[in-house]
Amino acid sequence: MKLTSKRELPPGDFGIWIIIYVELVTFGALFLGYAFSRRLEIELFNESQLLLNQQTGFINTLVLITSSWFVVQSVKLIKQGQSKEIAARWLLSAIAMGFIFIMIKSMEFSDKFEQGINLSTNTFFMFYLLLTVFHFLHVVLGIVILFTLYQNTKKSKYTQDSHEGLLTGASYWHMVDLLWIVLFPLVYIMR
Amino acid sequence: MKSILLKISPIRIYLILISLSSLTFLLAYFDQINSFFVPFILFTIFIKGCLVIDYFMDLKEVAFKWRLFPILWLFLVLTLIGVASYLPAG
Repeated sequence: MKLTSKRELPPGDFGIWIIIYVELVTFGALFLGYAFSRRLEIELFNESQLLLNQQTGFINTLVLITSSWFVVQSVKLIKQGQSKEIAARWLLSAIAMGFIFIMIKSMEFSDKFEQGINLSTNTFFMFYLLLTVFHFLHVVLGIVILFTLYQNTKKSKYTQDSHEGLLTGASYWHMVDLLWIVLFPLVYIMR
Repeated sequence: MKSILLKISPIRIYLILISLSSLTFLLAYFDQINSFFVPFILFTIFIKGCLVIDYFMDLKEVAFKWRLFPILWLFLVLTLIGVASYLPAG
């Protein structure tokens, strides 16, 4: 007996999955570039890493995971045909978390730029800025997408039977979370 | 076993993700990150990644070929990061 019937296609618009897979490959190449470059200048990477704030990075990890969970809650309510008002509130909470992430990251960038750190400082900071700024831009785009989902949910555009747009945006946001789950320990923690 | 895994509630997944992230951070906070703990950290990242892929992205209920790509990506990236961390310094 089958426990569950598997769907043929992933949730949401199929196009978003092409984008997600391309993004994963792109970030994967950058992660590996960082990991192998580190072996060539291990002392430099370890010393430069000490200038990063692990606490704020950790807070941002909690913020993004929480935000993703809020989106899951919203999708669950719509799928079950329950209150769209509450589903919209979950999305609004996820957006708020996204803004907290951006605020913390902006302060971190500002601190680094004030110290005169830029792409040409050294190999560590080149990868640090490439990875974190690239990810930051994905968070910004994710917030714009979540805001669109919020507005559509408030206008009752998603129903129990038709909510492809919501699933598409949610999948993108979870990808942003997935990338940070690898990025944070790799760049901030592992020595 | 499979039915048990499928029934894990999102709040439990969330708590596991938070706990594993906190554990990694605490290891760093108490300056315990060394080559001995690298495989452990990579393993926790793999577990967290799989949970996000299966339960947040909801790929657990989709044909395996769609789920395979992100899990394979995660496995390969983390394995190569592990290999890189044990290579002799250049």
